[in-house]
Amino acid sequence: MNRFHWTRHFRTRHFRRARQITVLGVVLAMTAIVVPPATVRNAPTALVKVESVRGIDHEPHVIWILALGSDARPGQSVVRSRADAIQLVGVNTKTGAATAIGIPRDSYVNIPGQGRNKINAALYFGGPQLMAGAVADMVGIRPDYVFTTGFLGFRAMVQSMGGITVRSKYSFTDVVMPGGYRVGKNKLNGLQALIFARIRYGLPRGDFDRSANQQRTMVGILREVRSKADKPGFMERSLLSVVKNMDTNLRPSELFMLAQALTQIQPDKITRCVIGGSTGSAGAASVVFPDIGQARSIANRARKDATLNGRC
Amino acid sequence: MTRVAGTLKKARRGSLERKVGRAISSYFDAAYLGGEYPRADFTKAFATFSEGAARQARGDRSLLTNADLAKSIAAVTPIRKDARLSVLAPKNVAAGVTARIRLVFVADSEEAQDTRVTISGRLLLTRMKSGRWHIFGYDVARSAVPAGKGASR
Repeated sequence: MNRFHWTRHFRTRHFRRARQITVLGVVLAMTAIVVPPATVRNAPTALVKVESVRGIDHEPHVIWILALGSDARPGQSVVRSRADAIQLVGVNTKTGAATAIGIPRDSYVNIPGQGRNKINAALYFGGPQLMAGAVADMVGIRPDYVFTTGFLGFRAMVQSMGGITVRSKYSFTDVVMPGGYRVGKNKLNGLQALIFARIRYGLPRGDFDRSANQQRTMVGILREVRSKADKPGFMERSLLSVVKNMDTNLRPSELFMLAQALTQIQPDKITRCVIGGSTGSAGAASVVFPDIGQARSIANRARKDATLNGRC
Repeated sequence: MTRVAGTLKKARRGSLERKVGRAISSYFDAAYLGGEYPRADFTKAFATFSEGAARQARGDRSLLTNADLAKSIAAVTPIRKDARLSVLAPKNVAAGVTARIRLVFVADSEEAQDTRVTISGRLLLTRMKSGRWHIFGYDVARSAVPAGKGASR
């Protein structure tokens, strides 16, 4: 249908304005050269202003979602394994802003009813509910939804989109990526995206940089979804696949409304933070002692509008 | 045209098209095509919107209705009214609909040149407990050219 109309939404306001000025400049320059002065004419070209608005009804309009990547092996339950990726994402459906808070999986924290342990064990001990509780204890925000996917589900999801593009901060190698991952844009298939989100060897800050790569992966997925959301039937087909392949207690209509609300996120309005900390050991395990003060500070600033003012 | 992701029996599809069509058509009429022009009252424009969507839409009424043009319009002539539906229907029940809309009309003016207005974009609908369908989201663009130019249909 109207591709031009959709393309407009995916640009930042700044870029859009710059582009409009550029286009207008080109048009005016061409007009000055081509058009004879002061004559009545039937112009062979036209420039028409198109105004647009968008809105969605979702209460509350700020949604917090805990996105988990489970390390379940074939035959294991994705919601009763350890969480390899832990991202708490706040979305403002009115402004299109979002804040992603990355939690290093080795964060050594209190898990309700289980004592101190790595936070990723909460999924194993008590499924998504306990994981949500552990994150709430650590960060101070209780997620409204917990989305969990395993290796196969993640690969299939990226593959069904035709791959994603991520921007890497570092170059590193892996056998699945011929030529290795480069600094800057990388076009990845499902397996390459999975490795990009999981690998920590070769990254200077190990677990922290891996968490940042998981956020880059999420942004890549979101950009891909937004670029295809205008294709008739894309959202419905994707959601049907989700309904068939995901365990959820949401009704399909709730899922439809939630997914449409999430497409309101503007990728350039996403703030990304990874909770810092120091590495050490607890017993025989190497762990991260997270900076709880920083985690609470980020959460407090982003809690109401999913917008993070100031630095991480 | 209706695309279905999932399954929807023929009778249910027909019923869905009628109900969704009614919600969209009511909006088009209340916001753009209906009423006695010149008109000033657009309070019922969003009657088929959900409460939250209607609240937001009132803030965007200059694009989502003829409110800004209404005083200078003598009459409205519909040219094209079209909605293509994409339906999410797992288990033979429709859960959500994306309607790709295109509405074209000419706003006749007695004092100035007539204007050909095109409204296009997406409306998002889901079913209420009552069984009626309502619009809970919108992504709509509006363009206007002097009538007779911009031959888009």
